[in-house]
Amino acid sequence: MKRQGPKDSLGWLGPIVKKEEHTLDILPTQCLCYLLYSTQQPEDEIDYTTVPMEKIPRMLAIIRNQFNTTSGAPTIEILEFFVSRLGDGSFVKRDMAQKSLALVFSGITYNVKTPEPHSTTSQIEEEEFEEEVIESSGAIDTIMNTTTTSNSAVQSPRATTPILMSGSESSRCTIHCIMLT
Amino acid sequence: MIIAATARFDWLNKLDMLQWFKLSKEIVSDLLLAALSHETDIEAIFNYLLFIYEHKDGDHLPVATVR
Repeated sequence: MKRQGPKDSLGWLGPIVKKEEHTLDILPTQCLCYLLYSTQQPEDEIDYTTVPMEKIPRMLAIIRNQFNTTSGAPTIEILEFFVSRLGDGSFVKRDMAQKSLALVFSGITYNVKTPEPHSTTSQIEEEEFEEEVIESSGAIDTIMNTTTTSNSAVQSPRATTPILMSGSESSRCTIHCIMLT
Repeated sequence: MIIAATARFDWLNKLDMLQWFKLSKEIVSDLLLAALSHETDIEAIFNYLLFIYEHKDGDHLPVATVR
């Protein structure tokens, strides 16, 4: 496979797997990874006569069976196969590797201890931003002891958005922004 | 501070759940570092950097070469 290059290897491997599903059970890990990787080509580039698209679930089942098992070697081999392709010069190939990794890992579920599997950076940044604003508002209260306002909305981080603010509120909000930057 | 990878790169979040994560993280970090020099997608670059720096060890700091 290494000698012939990936394009040529698919030329004979794909049709065999298409004909004989049991071939998947005896293929080396790298070949399985390659087959899965080849199924992630852009739709207009896939040759459906050679790429075994219908075998994706079976391929994934076998790869996941080898992945994260008692022996570390297959796990590293699988990771190395896909992650090394993330550094390919071709955008299409990098995208294929990303999609393949997403497929392999979709079988792994988060355990209870893992915090917020779907939390994004923006959500976390927003939470931190809120904390910073609350801390800053305390500091501003000390500095701006001449400013008198009883509006509780000013204490909220949302008050930093310029929506319908009175004079004293807007000056405080401006200071919020200055302090945060 | 925990910053999770974006949804498209959720598989990076799941890497440290692997039984063999400690054994593989050095390889993965090095490969992701190598990928940075070819990557043009800003989201991918962000997520790879996030992984590299969230999982760097004191004795294994990836070295980037600027060309």
